Amino acid sequence: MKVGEDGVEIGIIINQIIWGVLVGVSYSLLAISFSLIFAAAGTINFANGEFAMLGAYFCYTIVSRLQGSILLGAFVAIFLCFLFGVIVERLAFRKLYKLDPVLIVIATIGISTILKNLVLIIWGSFSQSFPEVIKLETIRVGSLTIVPLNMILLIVGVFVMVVFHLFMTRTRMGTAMRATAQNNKAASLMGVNTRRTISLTWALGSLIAGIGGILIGFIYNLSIEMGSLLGIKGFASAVIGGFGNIAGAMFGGILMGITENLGAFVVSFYYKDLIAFLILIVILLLKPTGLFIRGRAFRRV
Amino acid sequence: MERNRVIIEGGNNMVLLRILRKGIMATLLIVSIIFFIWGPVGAAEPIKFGVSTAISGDAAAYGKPFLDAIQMMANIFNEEGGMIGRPLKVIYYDDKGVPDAALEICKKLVHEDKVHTLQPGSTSGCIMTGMPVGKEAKVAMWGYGLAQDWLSQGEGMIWRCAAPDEVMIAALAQYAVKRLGVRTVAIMHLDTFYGETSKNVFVRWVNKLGGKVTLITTYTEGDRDFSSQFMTLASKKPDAVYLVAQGGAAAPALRQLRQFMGKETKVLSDNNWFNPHVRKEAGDSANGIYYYVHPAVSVNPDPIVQKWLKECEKRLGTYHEIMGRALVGMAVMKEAITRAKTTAAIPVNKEIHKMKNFPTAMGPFTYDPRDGEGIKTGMVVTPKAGGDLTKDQVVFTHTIKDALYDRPPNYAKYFGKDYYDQLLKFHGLK
Repeated sequence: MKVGEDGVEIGIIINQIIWGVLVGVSYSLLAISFSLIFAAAGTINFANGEFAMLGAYFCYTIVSRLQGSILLGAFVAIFLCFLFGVIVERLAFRKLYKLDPVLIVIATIGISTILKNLVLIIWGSFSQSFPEVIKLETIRVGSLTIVPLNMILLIVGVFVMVVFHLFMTRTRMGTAMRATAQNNKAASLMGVNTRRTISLTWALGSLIAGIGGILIGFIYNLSIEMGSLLGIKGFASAVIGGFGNIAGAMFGGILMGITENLGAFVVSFYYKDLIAFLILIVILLLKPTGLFIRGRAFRRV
Repeated sequence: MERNRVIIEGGNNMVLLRILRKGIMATLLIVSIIFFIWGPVGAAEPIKFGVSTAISGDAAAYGKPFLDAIQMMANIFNEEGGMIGRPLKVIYYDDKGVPDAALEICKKLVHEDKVHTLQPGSTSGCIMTGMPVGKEAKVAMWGYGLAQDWLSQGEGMIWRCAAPDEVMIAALAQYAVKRLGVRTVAIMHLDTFYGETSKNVFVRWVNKLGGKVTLITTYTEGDRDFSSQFMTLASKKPDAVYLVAQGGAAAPALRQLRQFMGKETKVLSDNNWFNPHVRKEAGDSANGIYYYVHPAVSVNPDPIVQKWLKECEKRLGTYHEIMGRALVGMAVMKEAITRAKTTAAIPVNKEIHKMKNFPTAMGPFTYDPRDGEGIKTGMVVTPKAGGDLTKDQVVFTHTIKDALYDRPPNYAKYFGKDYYDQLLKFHGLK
């Protein structure tokens, strides 16, 4: 691939990077959710992609079917996702903590199937799209294309990540969550209500996945299959960054987004997913704990 | 006393018996008269229409409405007195869009159910596998798939109840090059048999009309991210993009196309855009695209088309473009069987081969022996009001007079050596 006068214009490569970051931010949010729940429950939530799907469908219902504003739709959807996380943790997982962690993994797979079928029953099998909420024209500077909606989504995604980072590092609740994740018993002895903290972690994980789902819903569209690939990409991003590491999850998602988009452009879009997962394998071979975790052992949040 | 009573009772019984006997005779007479009047439909052996179609799986989206329309037509014909004095009966099985299943179903329909006509499958692939069963048993066949192969290989024993892709794509290419002034086109298509065929036909027509295809890209089923493809296409700055995106991929593909290639790039596409779900999802972003359709669509003002579409709305509560194919199929079969006065495949097919300007829900049906096609009119439509299909406008109608394919079906095996020449003469083509 040549870049310059006769070859590919630099603007197109920048376009690919911007698009990669945009999609990558959604992966990052999913990866954060994976990491959070892993930290809280010591398990992987295989229904995470479906949590994201649910967020997107909640928002779609308010914006498209109930004619609500996008802001209202997003806030209600986020709240419902939060509530959903609390309910699921209370009903499905709480009694499983003391048992084999594999049981929780199986339970998350079951929940994933239930959620897909619920969406099928409520919203139908046909895909849906958000209405065109921002009718701003695409800005072109040479071959560089700036899509206003995508820029807004990108800013929102980054903003959510920053707020979440601040929440985890600068608030008492965030500190309690980290303490619970590091050592449940010690945190309990220090006065942290670990049961409530774990419940809140599930709720936050569900909320963040929901935001990721809304973003990806705006970028692509909504379907019962949207959670599957999003979940896998989010999981891979969490592994790249180091499972359980929030900063690593953020970085992993964006790296994944940029790599797959540039790879698709440079090599072939046929190999887009292949390239993304090839990066994952290479990183796992070179640094099995992920890029952001030092040493050999996994460390929770 | 006792004895007398018995005699009296016996006498009453005799009278009752006589009255009863007369009553039975009268009833039999009335029933005979009714049978004499209604007999042809009520008593004769029904003409069995065998249908292999998809009523489950992905292909059911087309297979089920197709079957509904067939049954609707059978009911209408039965209400009108059936075909050649016999009632119609539709026998169907679910092929799920799977060719192997279609083959087994065709065997069952032909050998066990002894159907008189056969619709061998819900997709072109199903028709390809099921058709040989009908050919071997000499059953009159018809199909609604749009690929060329099964019609060419049918040797005149099967006909198509729809406008093939070739006709509709030709209309779109004509409109793009001749009317819109498009000189360069880029293509993005689904990498399936359908997408590949659609692309090939479009490329052939654009080249034939003096246009140029500058770049071709594809996508895989399930993809929703087309950014790389459209950014690549944008670098070639084509006048138009021919987009073949199916189902849930269509709306995001169109949105991303608009984002990366600008609203000034003309979008040409397939009849997927006449699907209400696709249009609802795409909303206003579909405005201004140009897509092809066959003539059995609600936006076609033709009164015969409108009459049949309203009949579907009335009896089935809905109309799906695929129903148009069933309407054509059943109407032409009825006409051919009526003219042939039999359900035997050879005479029925001969009547179909001789048909000229027979009015159908897709416009006039005229059999062209050179390619085996009967409907050769395609239309180009443009959306004006987002998801509202009724506001779409027909901007171009194009009928192809020439043969569509290089070679005609080989009629010799079933119809004799000179049959093709006879048909050409009959249709004034020689």
